[in-house]
Amino acid sequence: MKAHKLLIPLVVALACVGIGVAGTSAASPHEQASRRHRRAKKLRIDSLVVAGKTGPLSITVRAGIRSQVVATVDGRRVDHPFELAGRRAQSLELATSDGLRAGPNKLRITAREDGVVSRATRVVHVPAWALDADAGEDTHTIAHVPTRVGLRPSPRAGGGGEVHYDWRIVDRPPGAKVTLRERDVARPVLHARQPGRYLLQQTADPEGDGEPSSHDRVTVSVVPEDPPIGVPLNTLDAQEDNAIRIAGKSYGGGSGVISYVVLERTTRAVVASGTVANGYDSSGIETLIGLAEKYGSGGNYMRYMMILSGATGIPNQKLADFATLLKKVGTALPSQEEFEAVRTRRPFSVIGIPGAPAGAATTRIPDGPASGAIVGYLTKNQAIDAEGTPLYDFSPGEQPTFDTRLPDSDSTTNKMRIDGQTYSATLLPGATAGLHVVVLESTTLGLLSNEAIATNGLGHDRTTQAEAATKLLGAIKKSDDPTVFVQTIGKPKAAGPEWAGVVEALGRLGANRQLVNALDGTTEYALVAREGATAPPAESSTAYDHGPYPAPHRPPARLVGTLARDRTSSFVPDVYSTPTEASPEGSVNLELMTIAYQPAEAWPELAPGFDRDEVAAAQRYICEELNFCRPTNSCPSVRECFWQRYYADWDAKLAKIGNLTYPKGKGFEEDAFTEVKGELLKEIEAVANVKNYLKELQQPFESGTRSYVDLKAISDKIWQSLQQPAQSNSTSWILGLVGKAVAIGGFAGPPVSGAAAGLAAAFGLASYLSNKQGQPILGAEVRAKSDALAGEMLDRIDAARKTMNGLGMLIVSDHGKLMAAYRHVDSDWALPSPEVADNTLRTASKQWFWEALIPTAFPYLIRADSDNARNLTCNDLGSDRHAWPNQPDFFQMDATVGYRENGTPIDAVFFFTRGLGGAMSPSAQIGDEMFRPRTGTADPGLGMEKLQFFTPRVFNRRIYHALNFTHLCWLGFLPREW
Amino acid sequence: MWKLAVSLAFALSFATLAIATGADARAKPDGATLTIRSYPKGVYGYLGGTSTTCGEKRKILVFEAQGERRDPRSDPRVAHGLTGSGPAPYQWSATSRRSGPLYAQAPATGRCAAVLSGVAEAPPLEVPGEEDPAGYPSCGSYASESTSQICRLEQIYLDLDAEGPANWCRWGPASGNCPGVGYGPFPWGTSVNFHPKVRMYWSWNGWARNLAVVTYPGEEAGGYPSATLVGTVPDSTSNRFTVIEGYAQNEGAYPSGDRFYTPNLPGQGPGEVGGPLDLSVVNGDWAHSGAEVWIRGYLYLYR
Repeated sequence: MKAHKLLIPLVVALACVGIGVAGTSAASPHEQASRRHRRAKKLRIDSLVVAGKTGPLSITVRAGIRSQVVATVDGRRVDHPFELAGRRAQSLELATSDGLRAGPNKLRITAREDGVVSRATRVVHVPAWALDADAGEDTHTIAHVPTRVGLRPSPRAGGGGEVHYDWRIVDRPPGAKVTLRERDVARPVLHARQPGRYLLQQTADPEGDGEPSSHDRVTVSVVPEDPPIGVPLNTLDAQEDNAIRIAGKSYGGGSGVISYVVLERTTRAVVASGTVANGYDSSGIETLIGLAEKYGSGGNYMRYMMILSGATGIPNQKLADFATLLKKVGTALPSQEEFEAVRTRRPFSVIGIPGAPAGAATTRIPDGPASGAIVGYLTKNQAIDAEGTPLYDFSPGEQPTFDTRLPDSDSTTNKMRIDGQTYSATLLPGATAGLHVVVLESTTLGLLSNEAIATNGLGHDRTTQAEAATKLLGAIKKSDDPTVFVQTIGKPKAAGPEWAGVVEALGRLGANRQLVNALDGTTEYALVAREGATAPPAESSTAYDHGPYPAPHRPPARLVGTLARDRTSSFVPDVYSTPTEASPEGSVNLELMTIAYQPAEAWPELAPGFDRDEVAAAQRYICEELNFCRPTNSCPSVRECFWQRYYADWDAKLAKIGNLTYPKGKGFEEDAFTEVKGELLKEIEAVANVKNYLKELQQPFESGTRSYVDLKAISDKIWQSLQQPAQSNSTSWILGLVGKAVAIGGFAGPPVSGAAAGLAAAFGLASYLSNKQGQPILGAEVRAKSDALAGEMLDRIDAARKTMNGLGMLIVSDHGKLMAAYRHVDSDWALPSPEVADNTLRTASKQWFWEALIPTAFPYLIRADSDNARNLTCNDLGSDRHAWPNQPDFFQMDATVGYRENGTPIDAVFFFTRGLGGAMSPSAQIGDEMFRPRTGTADPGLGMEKLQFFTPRVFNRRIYHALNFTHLCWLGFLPREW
Repeated sequence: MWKLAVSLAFALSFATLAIATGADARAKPDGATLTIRSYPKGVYGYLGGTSTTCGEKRKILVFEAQGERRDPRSDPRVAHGLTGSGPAPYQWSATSRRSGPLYAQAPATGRCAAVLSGVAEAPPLEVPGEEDPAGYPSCGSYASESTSQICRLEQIYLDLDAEGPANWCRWGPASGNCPGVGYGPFPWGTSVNFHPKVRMYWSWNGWARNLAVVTYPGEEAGGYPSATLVGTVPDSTSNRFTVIEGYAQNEGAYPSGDRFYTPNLPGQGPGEVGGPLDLSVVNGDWAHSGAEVWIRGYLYLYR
């Protein structure tokens, strides 16, 4: 820089009030509705710096992690995202490449959080000289790979002339050896050997006097050379004195201590590790709280992972501090049993994110003799990133499969297979029906109980069923919160009031009580559940509502699917289906799930029998012809490029390698070339096909394509039909959408079932990976205002879609996985035409949105001792005496709620409403689209089963009882309107 | 000698002036403590560790903290109250709509030093019927038919009366009980057509610091209850109500219904999931000889 050129950054730190501008774009019905209830909000701009050290224009706005913030510059959308800059701040750096020009630039910033939109606009004057520096977008590279950073210089707006560049490394990992070559050009080469975060600054120094220099910074995250599956993690390695072991390296360990590791989520670089004392009089936990606060606040927010483990619990005196520490790293509230376990010196492990919202951390606190170690992989999650770099996430890499009724079961013996183990149980001689119950410890799947519990045929059925209830409860209580598998043997028939004990026991597991009460000698039932889980149980039943519609043909009750570990390390049902005649193996692609985590298999040797140097030269030649194996920003071999350059156009690569001819004089003979090319061509063909298969699976939910399943439009239409403008919260199980898709696909059979099965497998593998907030992407409930539900759902699905790229990388990185998947993609995994797949998913989406939105408009599920809601007689109601005179028949359901002593069923009517009174019932105009059968009618509906819809799980987890002939039917506390 | 007398007189008069104008600096701290806590109508707390003279009928000023440090000289005064009569600790309350952060000061008097409280943040106002931000269903009569072992007890408000002119309702260190009316979630605070009769009992005998809120279905307090919250409170100034036996009657006869408790998990405060219920009891005054009670939090279902 010339001496007379002073560095004159024009810093404009604006006051914090933004200028709100009301939106003028076309609004959805949801948005129109919400506008009636809310005023437009202003987005607060915390700071706005022009020509500072970090770039031409830096903006920080007041927006938390749940806010999605986007910006436009003179109407052009900035395509790189705002970055988190603290718990309540997000920041963005703008440069020429974002459309920034010399002179006035109109910035428009929009933040959306739970459907609430806030905006700010600013006109910012940027001097021409400030635009000279443009270091480009933050990026990432692999350690030891020379990487060119920065952007090609472009003539700046309003200026021109030569610009001298100078680069320097502002920050690097402690002790890191790094070289920055060609520092005086616009695009220097960074060669970093150690993983970590490197901050580079470009200074642009224009020719000519009187113009100051400008600066821009870029962060390069240098990641280790990890395969797509990630690196092994064991949080409490007994072989290493209970140390935390990551990628073969131990941290901490010992007894009477808590081991800890803090690592960058972008690069896996360990920034702190060791042990703290765990005595009742030590301040070890306070030290860890300090670390969690340091790495969870300001610019560190959500950028670090903190791993904690201890082999000997926590002293009673320190439990409150321990609870505080758990909160600081995003742990959901532990259960009483978990606190008791650590208090009684049981081992524990936590993988958390300092500062993250509750639910982000994975814990393992066994209350029995099971290990406290969390074992799995630290893997790159392609759905989330910081500074353009995918973030490391924990993945257990386990998807145990289950089948509750193997084909060789018979009328008295049932066989289940869970995680490769077969559990068989036979009813006592004489028994004609019962329940096969397998109870497993939820973190290890160790057997606690396997028995066939008779319900009928042993003489006095009521006595048998009273005993069955006791046995069932005893089996479930063998451990705290076990994972339980139940399958009917024969067709149990409830005989009297004692059946309520069976209902109660299964109800503890989250079972739908109506389905258990429907076991009247004509139906079957299966259940997979974990007591205390937020995840809904997997259920299958042949029971149906005997309403006005024709009897459906339900397949035999049976559940086939996979389990996944939730954030407490317990196995819960993940994705599952009931096999049908059309899809006898079930409708979840279990093979894809198995292949993803099957043992690694080495690549076969290229051209065995040929000279190794020749083979290497041939491979190198092919690699370079495919535009890989370059000096910078590249991958080192064709096979490594499969996953390191997964986003490349592999169809084009396939065509290119197919057209390659033998070149003379390159250091290899033609035979060797032909051999190498043949093998690589085969593998590239597999890569292209597997990638295309996964891409097609994503297509239905991909925006901007022809086959887009428009969740927003579906949601809007349903909300509009509910004629309910008030906004209300909705709580829905996201993975339920996949469940509905596989159910529909299962009835249709191949190839329709193929799309749902593939999607279910891919989403099932991704379900417990994290989203931006650290929460499970799909394996969780989504809570959102009615108008924000579709957006939230789209975000989750979009994140799940992105993880499919990670799944693709995982498959193509390993020869065994690649070839196993390739063998299927064009045969039994073949996908239907996009239109057919879309129809399935569109129907499933409608079902899901009806289920999610109905309770926001009609929050009260009522069970009444009457044959029809319209006939309920409510005392003291005035002349009419009928509280729900307008409740349409199709929004009611009759179901069995118990049994009398003589064995006859007690029936009740179920219905939903906004309160008490004629105006509180849903309008008949909404129609019965939900419940009309999907087939066999001129006007097909969605075919939703009432027995599974009129449940507390759908209606905000609550049910109310209305009592005939009582004061206001015992529901006088509900809102009233006639 | 006259010089000494003049000096003494001057010194005395100076001392008197100083006491009158700068008592803050001169009054000797007496170990008094002042607490502040938010409740739906404003803030309340206790003045303790002091004499009857300095405790009873003492003026309390409430300020909104504007900076990092509490500074009654510069922070705006937003409300004021008066402590009640003994026994100690002396309760005070002040109505305010400010959300805080708020703190209180008992200004110095001739004999009593000024006392400053800590800072209280007002919790977000609970909107009846609004879904729980934590996602738990509301507590009620059929919680066991829900899918969650945890439920949210929406705010219960008890408007307690005195038994009679000679028997005021006074929540404090002495045991007692008061009748009243309940408002809030069914069946604790709402019956099917009216706000039910309730009675709150408390006793501080020995280690068992018991508190019971009993809701009766009829228009009179008596007979079998339709709902209860029975448990313990550490002392009369605490807001930690640990429930040992909560009860919500269903359509069957007593004791048919669901039963609840609070597990008091480590690190969980009053009103938080897993913590004790948050209890606020504010005594009335001469115009209202009863007391007002607010209870909210999360209950666990006995299984």
